[in-house]
Amino acid sequence: MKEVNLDLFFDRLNYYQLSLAAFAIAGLFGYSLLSTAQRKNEAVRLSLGILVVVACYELIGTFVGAQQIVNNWVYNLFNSHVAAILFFLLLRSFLKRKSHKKMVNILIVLFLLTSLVLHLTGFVHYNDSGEYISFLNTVLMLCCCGLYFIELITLDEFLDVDPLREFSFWASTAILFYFSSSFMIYISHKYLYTHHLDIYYMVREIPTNMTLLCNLLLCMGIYSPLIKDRFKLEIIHV
Amino acid sequence: MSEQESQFLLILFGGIFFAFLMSLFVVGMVVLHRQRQVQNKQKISQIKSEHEKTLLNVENEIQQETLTRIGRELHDNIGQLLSLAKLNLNSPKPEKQTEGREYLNQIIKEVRTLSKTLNLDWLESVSLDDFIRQQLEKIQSTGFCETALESDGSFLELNKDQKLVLIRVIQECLNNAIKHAQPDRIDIRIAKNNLSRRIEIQDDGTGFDPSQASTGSGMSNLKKRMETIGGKFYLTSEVGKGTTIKLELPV
Repeated sequence: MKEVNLDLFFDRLNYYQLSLAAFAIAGLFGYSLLSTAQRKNEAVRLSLGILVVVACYELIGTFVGAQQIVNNWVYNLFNSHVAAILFFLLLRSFLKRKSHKKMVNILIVLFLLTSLVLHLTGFVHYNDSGEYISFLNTVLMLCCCGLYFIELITLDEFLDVDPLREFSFWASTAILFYFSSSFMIYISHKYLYTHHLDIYYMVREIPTNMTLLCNLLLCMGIYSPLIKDRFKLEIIHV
Repeated sequence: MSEQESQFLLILFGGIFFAFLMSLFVVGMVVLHRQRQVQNKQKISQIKSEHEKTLLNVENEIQQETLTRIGRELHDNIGQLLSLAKLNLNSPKPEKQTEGREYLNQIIKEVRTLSKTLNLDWLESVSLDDFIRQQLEKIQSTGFCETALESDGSFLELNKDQKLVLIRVIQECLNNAIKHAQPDRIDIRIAKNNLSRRIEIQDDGTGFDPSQASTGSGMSNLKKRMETIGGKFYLTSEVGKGTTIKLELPV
């Protein structure tokens, strides 16, 4: 039986994985300090879910990679499916119209069914670089972000809201930037990796930093009610 | 420039352009939202000023009507009582003088009652049901027509503005019925359901064609007044078949 290579795993841990783990721990700690009513907030719960899932799959991915095993399946399963669905649900929690919420539900089902069909037909493999699934979830995610922005500029419920102080606005913007930048990298992934490795490593930094920014924002979303309670200061409204 | 450099630049500028477009989209959304907020604020302040204007008009109308009533009371009632008191007090007979003093007491009471109606504070004390009952009793006491009120008390809780507008609208409806419809009977029903509470004013008078422009302006004024307090005004009428007016307020 092959020996577990922990040294390489620890060697490969860099600021990215450590930051994500720190955000997840901070998120869990912040969540434990929230009141029962605050914990019931769907956006807070989903933010925590995303923080934990992202930190877990990045650590698992690094660990699997450190064992000299192809780790694409980790990202295909957790990043492209589990985290994507959590992001869909987070965007759904920001929507006010029932019909729009229903549309997001339909998009989630559509995404899962398409992914299932693509995998079953062998068109995509669980261990490939995941361009097609990434394309699919990015397109659907952009649709969900579009729904949010449509509501922002058309619904009366948003009239009393300052979008620059609204968690939903910043989270939707971050998700929009994160998914579209990741998508650009995913589609050029294979080409850059085989032809221009230096550019690949440089460009890869974009989604990496977008993930960190996105998770920082989600972490702030969890701490915002706490800061509001303790210091009577609302940095961002969740 | 090597092929690698040019590809790098292409990716870099492509990425920057894409990020710029996305940022433009988000900023555009914020600008649109801000514009909507400004428009909404203007709309709200316009509605507010219209509301205040309507309330002021209603208050003025009620005060004017009150003054007319006081003038009539002073002339027809208190003036008569004062004349009687003067006659009796000038009489040498002690029983007449006692009667004169009683008249004076009655005059004091009447003046006190009148002074209470000089400002709109009486609105606070009177319920809408009582007000309608008083109005209907007044109409019936003149022998003009029969009246009836059925109420489940759903309009007992009203704020001052709502009460003021409703009183004025009901007064106007009753005045219109008396002036133009020559009814044998006026019925007012007050009831509520899950969503709204409703006052129905029905007369069996001559009725009219609501589509006629001459009647439209007065009705649209009443409709506007109801809208200022978040209510609705419905009118149905047909020549020879009487008129029904429904005033609706949310629960």
